[in-house]
Amino acid sequence: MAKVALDSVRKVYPNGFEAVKTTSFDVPHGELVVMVGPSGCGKSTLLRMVAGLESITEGSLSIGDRFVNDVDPADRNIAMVFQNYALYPHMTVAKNMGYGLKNRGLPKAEIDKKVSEAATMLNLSEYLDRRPSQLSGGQRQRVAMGRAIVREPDLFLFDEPLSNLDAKLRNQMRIEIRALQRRLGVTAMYVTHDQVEAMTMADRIIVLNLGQVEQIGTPTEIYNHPQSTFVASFMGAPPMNLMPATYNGNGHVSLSDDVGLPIEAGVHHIGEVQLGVRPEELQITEAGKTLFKLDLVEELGATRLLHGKLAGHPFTVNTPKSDEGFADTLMIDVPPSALHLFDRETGKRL
Amino acid sequence: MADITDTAPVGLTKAKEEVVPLAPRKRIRWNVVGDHAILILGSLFMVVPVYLVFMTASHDQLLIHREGMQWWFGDLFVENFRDAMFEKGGFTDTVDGMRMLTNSMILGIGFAVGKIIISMLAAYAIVYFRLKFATLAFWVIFTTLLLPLEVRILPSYEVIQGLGLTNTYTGLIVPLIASATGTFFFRQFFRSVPEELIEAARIDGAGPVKFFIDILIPLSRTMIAAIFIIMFVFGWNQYLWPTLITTEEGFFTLVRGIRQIVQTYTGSEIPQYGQAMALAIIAMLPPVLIVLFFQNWFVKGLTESDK
Repeated sequence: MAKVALDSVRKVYPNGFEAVKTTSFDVPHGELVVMVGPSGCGKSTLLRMVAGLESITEGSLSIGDRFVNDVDPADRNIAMVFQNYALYPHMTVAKNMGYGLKNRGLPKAEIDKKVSEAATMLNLSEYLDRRPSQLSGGQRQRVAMGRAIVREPDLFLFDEPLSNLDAKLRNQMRIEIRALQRRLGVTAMYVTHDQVEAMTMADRIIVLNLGQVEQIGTPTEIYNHPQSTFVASFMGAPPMNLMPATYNGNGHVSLSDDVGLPIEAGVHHIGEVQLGVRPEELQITEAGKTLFKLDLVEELGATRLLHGKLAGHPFTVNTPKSDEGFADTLMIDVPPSALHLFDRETGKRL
Repeated sequence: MADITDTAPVGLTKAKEEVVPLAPRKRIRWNVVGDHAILILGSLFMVVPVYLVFMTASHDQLLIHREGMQWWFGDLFVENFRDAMFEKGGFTDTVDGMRMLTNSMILGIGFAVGKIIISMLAAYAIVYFRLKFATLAFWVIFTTLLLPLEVRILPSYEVIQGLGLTNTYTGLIVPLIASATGTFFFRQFFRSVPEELIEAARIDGAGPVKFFIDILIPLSRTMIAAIFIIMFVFGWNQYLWPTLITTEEGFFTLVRGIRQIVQTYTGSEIPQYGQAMALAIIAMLPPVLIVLFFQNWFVKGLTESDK
């Protein structure tokens, strides 16, 4: 049983750069938590602090029941998978996987047994005598996974493990990693900048921006109730439409003098707001009440993205492929439930 | 738009026209002939002296003394080589060619291995440990390139003499093994080893020593081979330092022994030119063989690495 607890953890580099602002969260046992955010948001630093590769400036970190701030990475009983695999190029696959166990002083027979078990699990049995340079990208990634598995760690750490793979392989490995983590029931922390990876793999997502946690929640929570404009625009592809509007308290937000949208009751903030609508929650229909000026159609196969303007603001609509033959101006239906209101100043959800 | 569509096809047809007429007749390309002529002349320039030495080694000293270097085999080939290697010579009549060959080997290998060990350790410390002034230390080491042995020969001799290390292998080798070049090469190489590899090793429980032995040394093996070759040849060819530090003939190296033979006029005897030539050939062989056998590794070490 290993849950990970970060309590008021903070990281400041010697040059004064604050990579991670004071952050607290728990990862329950067996859960896969994805940390997602743009580059430079501190997600990798956070992961590396958990791994012990970066020192923790302030706060405390525990894995299981153990306080591990000052514990050496090798003694934290973790395993890490790196973006560029970080396999030892001069060792065979079997040696690569067994190196950590060898350093722990396990007898050779036991190492061999564990390595071959892991290799079977990952379909690597026939490659055990090869060098990493003789393997494909996906196989190398599997070896890196194998190296993590044989250690029987309390915690898996993944640092953008799929970024070096091509799109097709990435989808496949995504599923494999997820399935493997479920099967082994090991707690895992996973860093990525790819929001699709985050949405599909995570039990819970931690969205980070500028060294700060923006939101922690399940993929559906993050998608349906983004707590800030940053989360709203970062998660989901195409991103949520965001535009300035004013709310006068009478059940309508106005985008301009003549364009208004009805919203659900319960908003008490009167004045300037930021309005968000997901492109896929809109419908093009004769009965629609809002005018949309179409500039460009992007064909995605299953759906089409219509880029244009709504009340003078750039706006995107995602329509099913059954919709065809678009005029330059269209009427769209914006359901009140699809509207998200954010504070214009702070970007926080209202 | 017009520009793009116009120029593209023209460019293509031009390229085709150029290729076609070349096929039927072959012209003499003077630049190729010139290049080859220069290369051939250059090789001759280097090979002919060696050839002359080889041929001359098979004549007796009287003939050589009378007629100079010889262009063809004489009849003393085997004798000269045998005497050069196994007949005791020098003032004290204690040292033969084999002894000198052994000494040269000890110097060459000790020199190369010592340099590799010292410079690898220095580079490891500079690159991987958070030392204060690591960069400064590196540049201090680097500037010693400006201080070759010839510049510091007096103080070096003084120190070795003071330590009583004259006429020892230690005195012969140790003062020469600090290597700025080696440190520089290893530093550049270590810096190119991906950071993740070190981190993976840390998580795998490899401390500094294990990482060095299990990961870094195997990764550097082509680099080590390349530096070994350079340094072996360099050490083998050392002349000045051995001359200073060894006065006992039992410590003479080949390079030095050749000169000794040529120089020894005992009484009215003519020096053993034939033997000196034979010894010169033997002195040339090990470096040549090492370079020949390991040139593959040599090029690999300096140009690529399987990281």
